[in-house]
Amino acid sequence: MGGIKNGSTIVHGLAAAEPPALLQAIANRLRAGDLKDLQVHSLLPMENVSKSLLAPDLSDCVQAFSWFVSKSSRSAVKVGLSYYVPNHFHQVPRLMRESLDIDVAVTMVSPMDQAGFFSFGTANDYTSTVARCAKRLIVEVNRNQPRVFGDALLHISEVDAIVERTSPLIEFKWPGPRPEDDAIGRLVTDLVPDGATLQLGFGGLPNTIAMKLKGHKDLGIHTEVFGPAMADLIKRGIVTGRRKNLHTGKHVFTVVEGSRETYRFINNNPSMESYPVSYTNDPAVIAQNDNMVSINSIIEVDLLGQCNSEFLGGSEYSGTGGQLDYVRGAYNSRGGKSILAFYSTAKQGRVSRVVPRLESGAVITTPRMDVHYLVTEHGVVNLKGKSTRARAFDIISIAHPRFRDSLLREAENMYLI
Amino acid sequence: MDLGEKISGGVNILSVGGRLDAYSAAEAEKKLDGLVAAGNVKIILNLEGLEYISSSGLRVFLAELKKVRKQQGDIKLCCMKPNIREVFDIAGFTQLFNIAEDESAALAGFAA
Repeated sequence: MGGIKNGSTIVHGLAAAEPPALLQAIANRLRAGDLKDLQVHSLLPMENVSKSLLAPDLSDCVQAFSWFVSKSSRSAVKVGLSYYVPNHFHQVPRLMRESLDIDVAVTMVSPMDQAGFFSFGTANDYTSTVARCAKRLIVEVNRNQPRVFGDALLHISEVDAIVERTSPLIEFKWPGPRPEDDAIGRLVTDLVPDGATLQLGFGGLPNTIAMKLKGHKDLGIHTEVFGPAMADLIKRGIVTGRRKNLHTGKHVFTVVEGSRETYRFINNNPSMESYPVSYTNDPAVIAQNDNMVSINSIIEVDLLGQCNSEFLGGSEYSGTGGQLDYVRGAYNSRGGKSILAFYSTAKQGRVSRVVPRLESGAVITTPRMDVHYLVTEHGVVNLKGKSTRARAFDIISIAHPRFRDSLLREAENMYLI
Repeated sequence: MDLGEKISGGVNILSVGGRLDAYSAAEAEKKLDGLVAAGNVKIILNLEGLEYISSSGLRVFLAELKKVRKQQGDIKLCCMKPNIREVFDIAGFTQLFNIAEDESAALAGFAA
């Protein structure tokens, strides 16, 4: 770790590729007073970095940046101890390459093969790019990190230092099912034709929806995040990839967020292909598969059709991520659909997620011009080509019935209807 | 930002009022650095008058805490308003600092 100096800019591998031993070693140097003024860039920081470099006691010597806010960084972002960096996920490799002067990249890789190649495993995303533009690359080789195919290899000649350590990978858990899931799942799966190629967003609802895809045939996967529900669809023969125009028969992703079983499933699996996020999330690439269907979730929508998926309680709650990448890519695919699904209420039904106006200062993740299908447990609407009047009526029709009268009154006050 | 200082039982008590933000953090840091440099490593920060604290203020408090603890001292905080306490909670700083209800409790902490 000697290559890390005061003031260094460090980028680490995403989620399950956070290298615990390397991050802890840097944290130890900070705690010993051997290092200071580090700039640390994370995207969806998880427990390995939150327990080390992003621990509260190091916030005087680490300036943290969160390119997608997670449970681990939400509090720090709220009080200004970490800064959110707005981005479209597909642009992150370029943004990091062009806007950061990266001194050190650290990530976790799978063991080297006979030809001298490691694999980026669960995190290709921007990690493969920063690994090559950082002045120094240090990898933590972990036997539990899966070896994946696609464009995911790293030759030993590209690596400056290696640490070997076997430890369990971070596992992701989704919230349990909610009563509304059946209705939302039925409405969404009705929109998915046989032979469609799917992208499922990050979070509990898209994962739950995937589990409802039972009677479909020959689905394909071209996604940002690969998770347990998608692995299950492949195992059950519902996803074959046979009808994809691009990467026929292959399941394409850039990040894996799953369980030990998911990681085992993708390990050395030639049907699984990992690519940098600049490729998987490029709207022009996404659009090349016919019948591309993207399924993502939002926090709230206003009566104009503007969707907020990332801002809650006055601060950044998550991030834009790849939502707009896939909303645009899917709509531009022949026969494609972009679906934004959400529960109609929050806080045990006390708060409507259909709101007249977004809260002052809230941000728009998917602008109204881009919104295609919106789905709640109360229905599905297609906003494309609709007037502001028709949109307001449509959006109110999928709100919880208890809030519809007040929403109609507000729509009148706003001269929308 | 307003800074006031007194000494009680060998403990330096600094009252911090107003806004401790990016503009005023350097002044607070200079004051605390001066105390530590003079060997005063038992410090109470009375935050009764503090209306707002930014990340710059939090960082100054943390950096100074590390300095005094290296010399077997401590910085104890007291009299926090609820909004300031909330910021410390969210930042995870309540686990790092000893926080007392009032000055006498903070002083008693040094005596213990």
